[in-house]
Amino acid sequence: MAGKGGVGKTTVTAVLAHAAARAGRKVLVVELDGKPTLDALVHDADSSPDTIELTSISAPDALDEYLRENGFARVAKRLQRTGVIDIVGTAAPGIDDVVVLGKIKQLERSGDYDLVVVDGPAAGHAITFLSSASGLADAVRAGPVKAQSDDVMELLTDGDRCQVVLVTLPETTPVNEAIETAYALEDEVGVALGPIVVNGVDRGARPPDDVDELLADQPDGDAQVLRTAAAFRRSRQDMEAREIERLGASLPLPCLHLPALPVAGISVADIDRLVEAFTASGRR
Amino acid sequence: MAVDAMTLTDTIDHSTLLLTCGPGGVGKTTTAAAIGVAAANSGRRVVVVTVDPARRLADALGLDDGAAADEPHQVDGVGADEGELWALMLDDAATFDRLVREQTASEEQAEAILNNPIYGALSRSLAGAQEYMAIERLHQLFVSDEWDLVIVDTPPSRNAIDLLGAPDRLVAFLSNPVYRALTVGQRTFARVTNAASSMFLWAVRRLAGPQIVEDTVAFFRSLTTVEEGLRRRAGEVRELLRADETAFVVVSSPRAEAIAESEHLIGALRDDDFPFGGVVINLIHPLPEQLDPADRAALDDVADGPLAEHLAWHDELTELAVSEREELAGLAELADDVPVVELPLQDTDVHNVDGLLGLAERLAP
Repeated sequence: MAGKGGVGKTTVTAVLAHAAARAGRKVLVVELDGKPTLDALVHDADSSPDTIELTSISAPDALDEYLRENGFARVAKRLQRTGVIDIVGTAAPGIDDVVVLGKIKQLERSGDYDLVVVDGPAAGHAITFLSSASGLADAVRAGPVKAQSDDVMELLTDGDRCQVVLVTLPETTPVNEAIETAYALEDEVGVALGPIVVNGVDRGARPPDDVDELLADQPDGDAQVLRTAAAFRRSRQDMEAREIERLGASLPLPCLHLPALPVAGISVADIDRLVEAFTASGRR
Repeated sequence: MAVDAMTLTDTIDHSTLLLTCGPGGVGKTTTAAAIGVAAANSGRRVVVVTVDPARRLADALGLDDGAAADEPHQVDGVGADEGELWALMLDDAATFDRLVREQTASEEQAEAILNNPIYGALSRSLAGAQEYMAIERLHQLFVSDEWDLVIVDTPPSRNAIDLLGAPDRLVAFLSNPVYRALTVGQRTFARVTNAASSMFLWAVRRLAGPQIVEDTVAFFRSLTTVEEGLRRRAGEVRELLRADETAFVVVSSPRAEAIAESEHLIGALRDDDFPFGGVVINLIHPLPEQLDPADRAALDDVADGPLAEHLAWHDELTELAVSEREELAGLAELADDVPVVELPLQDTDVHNVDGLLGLAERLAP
């Protein structure tokens, strides 16, 4: 899952995981930021019969594990304690991203899950993160890091195993960024793109333009209050429709829509509504 | 004694360096530009440093494809009296190159660093390099004495302390015993005897092959020529960021996740004695005026069809607007000693100077 900050990437990650679990698949959700939000959205749904596993991968832990598995078991602790690891990371930039991707590849290969959903790294770093393996190949030409990079590249460029789902909002700047990110991911990483998820779409009825007749019997103040609220909605809906159309015209990818909910923060109860909408949107 | 509450205009007027920070996707760059417009229109010479502006905003600032990166460009149609607004798009690599050239004694020393393959990789993709460069560029502009106000739009960072601590981290890196052992002057890395650095070289060689070891050692060796300068610079930046005329403005949206990040950020700013100068809440839904309760009850009885839809939408917009204001209560409490300004959600993003002028008028009337 990839998307710029503020588009609801974590919410959509949870929705997609629940939708897959309800379709009978064994799902693992991987989060990379140490965010507590995802845990609540995935696990606190008592009412939900979904079984979803959640795991958190941090670069230092993944590196430690990697060292232990590659013949550095005796010195792994000392390497970390003396800060040598930081210097290795400096000498071979992207090595921390590659070990994280390597760990994800390992989980994917374990056969324990039908689907692994990764809540991608924070705002804007998705391209850097995913191109770490090919970037590292330029600097590193031998050794286990090279082998690791190759394995990761194989996973990322195999459309049957791995797809990137871009999340965006029906607004000008997020749509521009989704289009730019889509092309960059294809060109720089060679990864296959799944459907685009447009989050926060106002799916309500369009308030009629001409309300004077409807409101003729209302006190003037009330009529004006309703008119103002309706005008605000219409102009937002018009903009959303324009942007969704432009997104469709710019990227030959299927689009799924998730409705806007009238809340500032998504709760576990809201996830259910979104999963239904998501599943319905996918069927159409 | 009660004093008049500070406004954001006071914060802007009082600052010579202003940093906007906050989570991604909240309109930080737009806010930074609008603050720049406000200051330029009050007669000051202002430069706004941005990292990765959205395309339409970049167009509005004249930073489109034709503009050279890393050089200030004047923004047309902004500024009163002597006031001018300039915008600059940060180029990490160019900033790092400039730093290396400034801090080396000879062109030869500078080239040794700039041509090392490790340097190329490091300045392009080292995690935190962009943050460090934003801070470094800010310092370069600040000490140039060309500007009345330098505004820096910081890269989105989950932990802003990553950004603010970047110079200190570089110094910590240079103080690492392994780095020190590698750079004490042995002619070849084979003769390095320090146990930690031997282990380092052994580990790097086995992990990534012998070539990278040679490049790394050569790079660290050449870096010693700039080390003293980098340390001094980190100290200067540390002071500058905490100066009286510096202000941090936190930009947030009214969404729960963004608010949580902003609250964390404010706590971190206060903990580390950074001058916290205000909050901008961007993209907030307007709270609709409410219907007279008696009318409303009567309407519910008679309304169906389109009129009922109007009522339902009015309720939904009210619910959302109220929910956002409830989410914001904790943030407002954390920021009760600084100005807090709200910018309402609009039906289009800011894509020209007029849009920025409108925001500037709201931020600093």
